[in-house]
Amino acid sequence: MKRYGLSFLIFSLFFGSSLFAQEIPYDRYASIWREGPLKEQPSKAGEALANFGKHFLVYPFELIRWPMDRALVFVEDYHIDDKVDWIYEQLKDHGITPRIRSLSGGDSFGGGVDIELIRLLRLKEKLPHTTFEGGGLWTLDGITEYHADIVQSSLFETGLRAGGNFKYEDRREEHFYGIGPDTSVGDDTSYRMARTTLATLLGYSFWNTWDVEGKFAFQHVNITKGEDKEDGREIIDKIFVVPGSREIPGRFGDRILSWDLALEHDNRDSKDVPTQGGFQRFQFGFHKGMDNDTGYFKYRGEAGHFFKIFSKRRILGLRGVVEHHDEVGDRRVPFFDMSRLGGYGAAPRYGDTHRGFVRDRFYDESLLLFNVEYRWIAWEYRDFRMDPVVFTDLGQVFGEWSDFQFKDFRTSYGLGFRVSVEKEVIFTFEVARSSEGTQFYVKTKTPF
Amino acid sequence: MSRPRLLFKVFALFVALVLAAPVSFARQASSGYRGRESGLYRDVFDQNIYYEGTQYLHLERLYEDLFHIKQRSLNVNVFDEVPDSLFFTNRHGRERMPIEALKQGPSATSGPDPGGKWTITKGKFEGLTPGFFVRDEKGEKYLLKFDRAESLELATGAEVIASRFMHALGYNVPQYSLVYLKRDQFDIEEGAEIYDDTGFRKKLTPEKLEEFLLFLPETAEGQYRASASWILKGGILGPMRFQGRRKDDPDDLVNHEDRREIRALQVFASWLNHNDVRESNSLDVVEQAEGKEVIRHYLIDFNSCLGSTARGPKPPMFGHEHMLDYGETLKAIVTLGFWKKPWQKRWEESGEAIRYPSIGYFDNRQFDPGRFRTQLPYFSIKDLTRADGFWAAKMLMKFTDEEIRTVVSTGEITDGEAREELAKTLIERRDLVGKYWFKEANPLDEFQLLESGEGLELRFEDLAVHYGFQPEGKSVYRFDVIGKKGNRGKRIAQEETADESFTVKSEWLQEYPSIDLLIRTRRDGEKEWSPFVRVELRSEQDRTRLAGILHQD
Repeated sequence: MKRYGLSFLIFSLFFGSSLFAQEIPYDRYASIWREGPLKEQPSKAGEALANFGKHFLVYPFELIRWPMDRALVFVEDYHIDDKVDWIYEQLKDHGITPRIRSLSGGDSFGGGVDIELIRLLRLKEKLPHTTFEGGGLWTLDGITEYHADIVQSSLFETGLRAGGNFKYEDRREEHFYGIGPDTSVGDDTSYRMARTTLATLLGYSFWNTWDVEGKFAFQHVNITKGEDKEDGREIIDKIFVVPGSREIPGRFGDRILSWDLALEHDNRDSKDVPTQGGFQRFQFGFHKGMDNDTGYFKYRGEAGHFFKIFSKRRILGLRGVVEHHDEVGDRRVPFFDMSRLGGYGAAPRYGDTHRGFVRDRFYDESLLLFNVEYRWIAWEYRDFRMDPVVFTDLGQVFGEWSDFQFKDFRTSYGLGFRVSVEKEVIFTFEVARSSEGTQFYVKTKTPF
Repeated sequence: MSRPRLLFKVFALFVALVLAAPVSFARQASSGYRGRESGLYRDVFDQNIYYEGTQYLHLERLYEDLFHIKQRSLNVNVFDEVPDSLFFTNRHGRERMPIEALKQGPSATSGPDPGGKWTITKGKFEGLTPGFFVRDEKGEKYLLKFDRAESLELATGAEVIASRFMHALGYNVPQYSLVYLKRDQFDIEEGAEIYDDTGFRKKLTPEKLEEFLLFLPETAEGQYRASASWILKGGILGPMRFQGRRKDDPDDLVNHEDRREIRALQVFASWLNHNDVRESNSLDVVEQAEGKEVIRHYLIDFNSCLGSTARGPKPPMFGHEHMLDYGETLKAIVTLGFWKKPWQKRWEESGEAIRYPSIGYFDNRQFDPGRFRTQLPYFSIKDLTRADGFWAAKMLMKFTDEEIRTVVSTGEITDGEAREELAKTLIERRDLVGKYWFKEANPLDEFQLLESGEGLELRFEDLAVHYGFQPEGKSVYRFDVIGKKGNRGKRIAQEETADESFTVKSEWLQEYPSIDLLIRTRRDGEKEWSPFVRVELRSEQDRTRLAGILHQD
């Protein structure tokens, strides 16, 4: 007991003050504010004035936000996005595919529709491997296209397919700068080209990644005046024909029979944003005019490959194209079927990808082109992603192989970004620079 | 989704936006308060595009960012706490809640009747969170939300667990309960309609219900598991805004971006991995309280907490980046993709796989409390100060391991290993968040002013030491004693101590009616002193009291 008493005494000596200390209480959650009772600060009028002073620079932009907010709430509340999806689905189910053609460098906005008759007539179950489709496309810059295709695939339950197609294209403003690598962009003129094509095809797909297709076609090409309001043919001759030399071939158009054979191998893991794999395409064709002196063999080889740079988020894409048109005897390659270089590419019958130059900037019988691009993922959100891209294009057109000269290579370089959803590119913006200036592209496709 | 489809959709939506713009959506509640409508699209446009783009046209914000000025929260009291309000009620932070109360969460009703019939009054089969509005046999209305087919227990568990934590922290949340139902318990009310994935309103038929149920996961007992959210009673005014204030509400006096509990959502979100904190996940409701109409501000929808989103496990970038994160994107652009983002490292470290489907993607790899990103960058979140962060961190540090395990158990995750992993992650993350904010601020709290025969003694608790983030007895506290007369202050002493107490000399109190103690802390092995905590002592009528506490912002 004595021991406990002593301990208590020592404890009290050390901690006495604590033991007998009394807390001065305070209510730490009390509604007591530093500046007195909480009230509207400042008054309504004062607040309005103060707000104006602080935010007046934003007010013009509020004119955008206000309607946008309302519209977005409307879209969400009334499920407009689901309705749009459903409408698209219904159209598609009935064989109708709306086409929206985007704004892009050298092209303009347009729209169209493809109608798949087999679906429209509800015969898809009976004819699952038959495609019978027709459609049209119209753009603001005057392109009109109609087409009809009929293809029967999986013939004999193999990869064999056969079919035919009809296509009519009317391009009111095709640009022409002369033939050869040394033409001037200042010599720009335009012509109108109406091309009607009737073709039959036979193809075979095998091993998932290989495809071979043979095609026989009849084409009627009519060249008339372009945007210059005069006869384009005359303009072409006036500008480009050197006295004493031959005229521009094909300036009167022609009726052409053509035989083409194409072999393709494609093992990319995605068409739009591949991270590995590549493609190779080889094409051989013979084209012969019925009215004029068209007659040539066409050889084209194209190969591309995509490499991961230590990560699937960093991709180096390489592509090379070589194309040659070989005249048959005295016959010639019409200028409208020549190899063309310039523009974004990515669309058939447009010049191959050379982004620093305007579309179809260079025409000649042969083409050699290299595209290198490096892209990487900078932003991802669920299935959305944005890939910046830097690229360079190196290419030239030339006549015969003997005309090829290294000094004729033209270079483009540039950068941009591509937005994709579920690995489908929906928007691209690219800027390219070359010795002839800067080109801007807004597209919904990749060039290769 | 094919390219033609996407382009068609983009084009059609653009047309819809242009046509819809003139329509006005402000709702007028029956009570006369102004309603507000919002949704994900509006939130994204406003917060991630519009305000991000125009933020520096607000001169005040430009000035603050240029000079690194942080505005102090305006609804904190003199003791640096947030008094109870219609936004927030101090619960676990004020006094430890009993385990049963933590498990229960908000208890507006005794809970849904799981055995009886559930009458579907309205359906919602599309969108992020498909579900039903139902009425149980007691007449209470609920919103039932289900798990995705491949993620049984994920979203429903996350919602129930997170709502309980948010309630315990002090927010107003609806009552969420887990229910297990059989097909034959569902009845369809005459005239019940649904919005299905066509986007059109249709009559809900038994066939449509069957079709919906077909895609739901079932428990081992063949039941459908759902989170039942009790439908709040009162006038629904739509989402609360995280900035500005309601001019028609006399109780709403402080701009919401200046409310500490709104700013602190960032800290709590980082703990609960609640990246979907946004205005359209909140609700203003007109209620009766003490005989008058008041607007209570609720947070709702917690199925995007922890490792879950409404659409399944969290995608790897969630919590690391805003939806459109300009800063992170710019870094990735300029480094040509060679800079690996933290979420990419984390995803690689996890083998690009989710280990427990029932808890989704939730771990503490690459977790940095200071870099947690909600989906949308609200000003209120950007305006969070050290003091706000400290306040939030000390609240969540109050949850003991046992309490966290108890709340996690309310998610009824059947895989014991997954359940323990979830609790472990939350416990670890609590400490990571606490450690971070206790380092950012000066984590001194629990101030007591004691009077003894020898004078006054100020005692406090160093929370970093208390929670074991710093070794005991190794920190030094420096006291700058400021004597104040009127508006003039003078430093009259500076003392350092290793004790969590300080003696206030009586001569100081005799000479000055007010004494401010600026306390800074230096940790073992560090040279820098921490931000300050200011403790204000006032002497009135021969009695000194603790008049204020302020943690440096």
